[in-house]
Amino acid sequence: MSGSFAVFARELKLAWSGGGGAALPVGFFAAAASMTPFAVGSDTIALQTAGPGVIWIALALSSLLPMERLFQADLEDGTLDAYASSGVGMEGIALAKTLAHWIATGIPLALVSPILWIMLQGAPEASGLVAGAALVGSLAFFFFGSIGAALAAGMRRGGLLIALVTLPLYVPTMIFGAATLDAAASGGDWLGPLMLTGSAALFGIATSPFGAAMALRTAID
Amino acid sequence: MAVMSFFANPHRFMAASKWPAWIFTALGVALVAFGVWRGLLAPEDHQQDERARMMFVHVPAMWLSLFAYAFMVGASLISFVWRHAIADVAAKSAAPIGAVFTAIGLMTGSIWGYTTWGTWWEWGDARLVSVLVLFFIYLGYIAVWQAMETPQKAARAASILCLVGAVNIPIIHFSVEWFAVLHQQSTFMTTDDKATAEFKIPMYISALGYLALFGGLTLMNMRAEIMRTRAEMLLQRRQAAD
Amino acid sequence: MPSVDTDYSAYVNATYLIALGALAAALVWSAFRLLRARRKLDEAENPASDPHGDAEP
Repeated sequence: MSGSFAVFARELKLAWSGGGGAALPVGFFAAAASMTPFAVGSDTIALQTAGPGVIWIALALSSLLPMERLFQADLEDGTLDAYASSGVGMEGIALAKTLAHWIATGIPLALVSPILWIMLQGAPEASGLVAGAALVGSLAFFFFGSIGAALAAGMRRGGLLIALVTLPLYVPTMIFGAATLDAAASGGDWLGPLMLTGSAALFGIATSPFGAAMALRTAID
Repeated sequence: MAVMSFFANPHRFMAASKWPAWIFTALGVALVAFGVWRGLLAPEDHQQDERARMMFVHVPAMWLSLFAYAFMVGASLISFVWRHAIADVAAKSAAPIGAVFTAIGLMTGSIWGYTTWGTWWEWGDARLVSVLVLFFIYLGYIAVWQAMETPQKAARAASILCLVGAVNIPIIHFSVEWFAVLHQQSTFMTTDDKATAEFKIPMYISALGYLALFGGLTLMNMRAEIMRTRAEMLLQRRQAAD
Repeated sequence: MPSVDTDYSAYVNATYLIALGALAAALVWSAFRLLRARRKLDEAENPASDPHGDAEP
């Protein structure tokens, strides 16, 4: 346990000190959501209708961006081998790395989401709820994505494969999260969908490290 | 266990599977043809209309899309736990066939949906949408096999993905059902319970035919896969000897 | 939306056509794959009967 905590601390420090780890996904998130008015039209009602869904899709795609390098870099330079031979369980490594990357990238994504929400004519009062839903949702997206990331770590061109493998796993989070935002927009009951989004995240945290660890062990030997 | 270790040897598998591959395929063709013929001849029930005839080809395809995936899960489990070479080949060979059944189920379901709901695609029908997600899982599985460099790694990665998919399919199905309830405007009728005997018998015959075809085609693809692997091995060995 | 009295035979025929077409395609594809694999194996096992001569570099 202390071993995976060391991995977590190191990864977090790397992600922060590397600088700009979050800049690319956040920039993509903002740019993708900003495309909506050009496609849907600048009509307020149309934007309010499309907004929740667009933000949620953009959040899912932005969460996929860091996945390609989540394990690949460490696999190539042997860091993963070093971690494994130092006696840390591969599950712990997968959990620590995914959590560190979520803190470095997922939290910034969630913090940006209310700005996009307001740009798409959402009610400013719901900003907190949007950020909270994005926080929980990105956690689920990162953990489900880590399985695809681990599977693709040993491949030369794994980027698109991660998307194809991971997007079906995103379906529950997609449904519950977008429903939360929909409820926030229409003033409906948002607690139920938010709880379901949370359970998707918890399920992802509880199970995906095992899937990712199996895939990483395959990639190493 | 005994059967499993017996088939761990590719030579024994090749010897044992030669005739079953063709027999299952021929049986499948015959049963599907008979089911279709019976289905087209079935008397028109006044209670229901001609649309029920679509069920003979649609429902078995939906069943087989799930059955093929369950088969792949079983093979992946065996492959993952015992590193069984034939199980790898079985899961790999079943995937494209299962994907074809899934595609048939989706397309025929869409046509049936148009005649019943008036739209080619109804996002409120949880079964149709879940099967669409299943289709994407099939595609991802096939893509993993093609993306990995060595067959051993591809087999491990693909079986992990298959098992992950198996864990997630019930959750996906539940979430899509929840989504359907949230967005549903009207209740959709289920077709299975109103099908009469005249319609059920050809449907079961078709389903048996689909099942036999799945077995035959999977065996054919497994044999092709083993032959290709062996040919490549021989060529490599000869190149090394030169 | 098609009304209740609509003649559905075109839709019914389309589903049969799609299903049988896809199954036939899968059958032909599998048989073709098997045939090619067998030919490849034959060539690998008896290089003397290789009609293209010495294919190796």
